[in-house]
Amino acid sequence: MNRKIKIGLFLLITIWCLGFLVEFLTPLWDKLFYLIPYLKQNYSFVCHQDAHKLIKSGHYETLVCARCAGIYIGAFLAALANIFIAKKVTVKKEALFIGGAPMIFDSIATTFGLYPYFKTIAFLTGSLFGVVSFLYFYNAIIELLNEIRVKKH
Amino acid sequence: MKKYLAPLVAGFSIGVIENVPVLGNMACCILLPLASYYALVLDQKANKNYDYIPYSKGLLFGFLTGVFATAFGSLIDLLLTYVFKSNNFTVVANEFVKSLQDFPLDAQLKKQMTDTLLKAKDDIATYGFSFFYAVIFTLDQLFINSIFGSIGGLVGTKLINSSKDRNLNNPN
Repeated sequence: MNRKIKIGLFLLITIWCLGFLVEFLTPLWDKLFYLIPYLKQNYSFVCHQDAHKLIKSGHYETLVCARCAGIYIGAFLAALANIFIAKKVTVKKEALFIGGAPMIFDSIATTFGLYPYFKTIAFLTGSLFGVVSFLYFYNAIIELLNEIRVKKH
Repeated sequence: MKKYLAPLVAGFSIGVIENVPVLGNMACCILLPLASYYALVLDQKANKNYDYIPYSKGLLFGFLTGVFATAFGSLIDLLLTYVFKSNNFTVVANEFVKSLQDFPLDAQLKKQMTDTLLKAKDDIATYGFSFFYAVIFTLDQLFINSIFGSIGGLVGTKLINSSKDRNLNNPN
């Protein structure tokens, strides 16, 4: 049961990540191009999409900034690793805050001009938060499922 | 309805914030999960019930916060679009049409895309309303808000319950 949940979550996060990477996928299937304005609008709800903060390669760019891309890629990697880890990984609330601290510090530091915006730092700090927050969220999902099981019996 | 007053209040707040420039872009990934958490706290305070929160309730409250945020957010956005005959979409459409020319894609495909977007943009500029925009925008927002609201509801429940677990383990 838990493995199905893990795979389900992994697939959902994969679809989400493919969504903001859609421009990189257009050479594989050009009909995806129709989705770009829709997805761009879609991801504008979750990201400011500042042009100089997007990850670019050639003609293509991500639909979210480096920090947001880091969060989602971090969650994607954690979801992938989670499939192969049989033991329950418990994440405490302190870990969630510690995992988010570098990202918040980087965000504040770049906003107030302590140092310039580096996509690599934004991506890496975002990834760390993505990993921790996914594991915390996964723990909450397990609690929810346990609750449903108890109610059924 | 009184039962769901807390997500209604939290959802309304986010619906308003979503229409504030800059702040609106962060409404979903940061503010909406926080609003779901706030809805749970508000509900506890309103009912003076500080017991363990069931995760199913957290999920429902988070989901409803997202739905109410969409309802109010879309309504406010459509009203503002009608009044000002311009919105974020008209900017995105312009930028996209410009960047479209750089894509190494079929010319006919580019033309179809440009025509659809410019038609929606022109409708907004002329009538202050575009059916294409209204439907896409509302469905889009409903999809995203309900997901992030539900995530916030679950994580919020875990955060609130973890403090209770600690108090139970250390009664002194």
